[in-house]
Amino acid sequence: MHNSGRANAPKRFLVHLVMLAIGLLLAVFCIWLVYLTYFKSSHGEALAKKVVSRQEMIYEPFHGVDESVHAGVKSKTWCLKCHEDYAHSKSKEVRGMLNAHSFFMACEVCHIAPKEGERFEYKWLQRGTNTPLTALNGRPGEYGGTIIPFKVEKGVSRRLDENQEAQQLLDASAAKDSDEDLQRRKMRLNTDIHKGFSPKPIFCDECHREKGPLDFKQLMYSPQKTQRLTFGEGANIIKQYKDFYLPTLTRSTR
Amino acid sequence: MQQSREYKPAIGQRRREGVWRYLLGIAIATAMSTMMSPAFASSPGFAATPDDLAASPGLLNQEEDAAPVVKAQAEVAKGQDGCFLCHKYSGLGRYEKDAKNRIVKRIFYVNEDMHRASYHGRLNCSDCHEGVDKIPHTDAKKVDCGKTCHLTDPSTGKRFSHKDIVKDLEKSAHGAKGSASGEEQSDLPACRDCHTNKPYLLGVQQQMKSKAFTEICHQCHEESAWIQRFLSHINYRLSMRRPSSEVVRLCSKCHANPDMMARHKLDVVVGFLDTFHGKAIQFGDEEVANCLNCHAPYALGFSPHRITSRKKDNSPVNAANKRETCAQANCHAAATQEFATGSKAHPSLVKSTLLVKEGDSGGTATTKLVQVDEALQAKILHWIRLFYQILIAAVVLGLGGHRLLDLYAMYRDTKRGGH
Amino acid sequence: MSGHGNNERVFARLTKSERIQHVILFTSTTLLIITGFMLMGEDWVVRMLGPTGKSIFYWRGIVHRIAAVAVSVVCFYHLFYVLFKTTGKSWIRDMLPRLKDGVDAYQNVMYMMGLRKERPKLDRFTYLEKLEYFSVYFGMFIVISTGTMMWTQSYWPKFYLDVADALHVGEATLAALAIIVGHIFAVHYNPHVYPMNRAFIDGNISETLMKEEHSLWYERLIAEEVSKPANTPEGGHGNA
Repeated sequence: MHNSGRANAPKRFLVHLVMLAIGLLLAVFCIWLVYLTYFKSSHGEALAKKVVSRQEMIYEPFHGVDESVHAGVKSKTWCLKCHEDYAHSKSKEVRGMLNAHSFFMACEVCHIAPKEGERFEYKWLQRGTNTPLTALNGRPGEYGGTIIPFKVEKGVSRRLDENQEAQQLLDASAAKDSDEDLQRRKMRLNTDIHKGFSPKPIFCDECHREKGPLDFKQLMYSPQKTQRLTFGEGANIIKQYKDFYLPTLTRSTR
Repeated sequence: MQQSREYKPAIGQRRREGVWRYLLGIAIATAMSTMMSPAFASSPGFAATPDDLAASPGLLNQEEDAAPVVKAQAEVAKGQDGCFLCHKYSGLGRYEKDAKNRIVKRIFYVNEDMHRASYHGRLNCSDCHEGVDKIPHTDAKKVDCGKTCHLTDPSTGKRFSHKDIVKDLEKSAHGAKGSASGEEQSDLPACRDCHTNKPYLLGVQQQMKSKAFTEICHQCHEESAWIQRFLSHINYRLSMRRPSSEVVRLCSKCHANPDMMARHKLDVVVGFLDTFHGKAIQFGDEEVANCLNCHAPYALGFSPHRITSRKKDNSPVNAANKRETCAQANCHAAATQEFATGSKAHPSLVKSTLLVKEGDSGGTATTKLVQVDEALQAKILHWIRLFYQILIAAVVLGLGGHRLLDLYAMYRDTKRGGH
Repeated sequence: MSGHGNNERVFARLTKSERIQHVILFTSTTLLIITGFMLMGEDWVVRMLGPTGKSIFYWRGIVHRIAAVAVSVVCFYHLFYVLFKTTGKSWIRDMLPRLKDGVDAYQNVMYMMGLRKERPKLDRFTYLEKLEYFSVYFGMFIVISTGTMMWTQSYWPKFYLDVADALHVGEATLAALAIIVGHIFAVHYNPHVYPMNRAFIDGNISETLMKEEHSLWYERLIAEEVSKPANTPEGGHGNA
């Protein structure tokens, strides 16, 4: 430093600061230029890659859909880790309708049937906070809550959709994924996770009738809506169609 | 939103699947945010934003037995055929295999308010979806956009139909009759590959700025639903049809897909986004040319439904017509024949030979066919870039190395105290 | 005339005309680099600008063209300057590459690597300065010619424009990096001159820096002074 003289310290500090800032700015600019020259693939190439990986995403839904579709299944339980948002695929006739249910009901509502002598109750719990809903406001099925099954034992009700063991199993298997003992672990997981579930789910006509396991009035549905849900009046709709398929316990595909 | 998906992925694949789903999520989110972006929503009639939904009474908070607040919608809803009893549930949908055995996500949910606010909002489901009288709908026919509808065209009083457009499309390069013989027909686009039923009636009051605006209409016309629809239609037609970025995205779905283009012996259009036009579109400029401005220029009377091969004489991108296309609407008013031809506007960097007509700037005199080797052009450009890549590396490493070495020497000198 | 804090003797390094040329050159080059590389910007950054982006990019084009004209004028004036003006002729005479530059480069590198005891004695313009100076000729030839082509795009075949574009971008990147890594480092971040070499402002170079970086020139000037004790303004060399 030959020409710095006896400049006072703050001034010199300021000079250092400015020079440092400019230097950093220039360094960043240089790095960006190097990236542009050597590492950036052309937009076209990037697009081609994107299109190839998305080539099956050709259609967008024709009719207006709102974000509720893209939000997917609202009960973000551990079931979804494998079964995803449109989980029902086996029963061709009703899979769409069943998927519609799973957007606002915990899987366990249908897939754990109360055994002889067991008492279940069902409540709307608000998503996120898990507090009971006080009223049903919103579009059908989009009330901000999920129907959760509870098992009542000795006056204490326990949530049936929480399975910490399964959650841990899934987390553990995600943590150490190797191909070696994959099959074995898959088998074990499969049986362990599905242990609590009924082999036969509750069928449509078991709930959609009067005095079924789900008390629609207690679930805060209006009397009109309840009548429809129990198919008291819904027969009008059914009559519009030549053929109305409703799976029942006796006509089960299983 | 369609997505490919494996049934119940094996647990061991979950991590890879996770990345894929993550990317897919980003893709969907991007698409959604494009749809929901303010720019998009401010142009009349695009997808409803949450604000729109909140602002329009009756859109939320509506059971099928609760009376919708918007009168027009309530009236139409009465004539409904009960489809929304099931189709109002947002979870209604499934994965299924399509004709090509791909697993695709089918969404059967329809937002009734968005449908009522759309172009086709006056139609009931069964007007287009014919023959649905079974549950499950095993008997549903494919929707035919070219059918004659029971609505009347107000200009003629005749029954309305899209069949002329369907015929045009059929004769175009994208249609069964206009495409080259022997082309894979299942790749050709159908109406719904480009068109969705956009809701354009939502928030019409906001678009018209004041309620008083429609009050004037009421002095002669009775029905407010009709007035809203009429105004929305005019408003929509007067504004930009589609944002350029959406047009590029739409065309790229097929034209940037190497497999599909190979099936049709067409060039993959990957160079466009690297051109000045493409760059400006990515920067959000709506006044530069997108695909349609050259391949179906409205200003010159062309329509996207009548796009033809560039080899045809009447194509706006035929060598003989290119100059006029570049000069349209004062884009490149001074364009000469040399500027317009001689290379493609979006180099595809594949080996192909382009036949161009050469003439004077008036476009009248001598026309001779000149072969332009696009592959050679691409090579030359590549060499130039390579030359600079090497030169830049040499200069920067040389200079930088020299400077660093110098610093080291100075440091060594001061340390030695020989300074 | 001093400006160096102490009363150290200074020598004239740049004439007023040269300094004005340099100021115009560096301001317009900076503007050109900024406005030019805005086109290469990442689209998400540009989209963040929103509607203002449109007017920003409108002005971008205009500023780029104005700066381009300014830089072209300076370049052509500089050609005239070195061919016809006395000081300019002396400048280009000292600037022309000669065999000694190669020897200097070799010896300097050897010294820096510790394989030689002494730095070589450098003249008025060092080998690096000469390299930078003539790089500007090469670069300016490319960017001015290709830039003119792109400005008059309607009269050129599309492929020529693609070539021009590739050359313009390549040369601009090279120039920007060379200026930052080479020149800005040498005149700002080099410990000898940090925070800046004031020669571009007052045209002077201190005796210490003369000895350090241009010792041969220094010795020549001193020798001239001894032989001609009276101060001569010849060749623009003066002293404080």
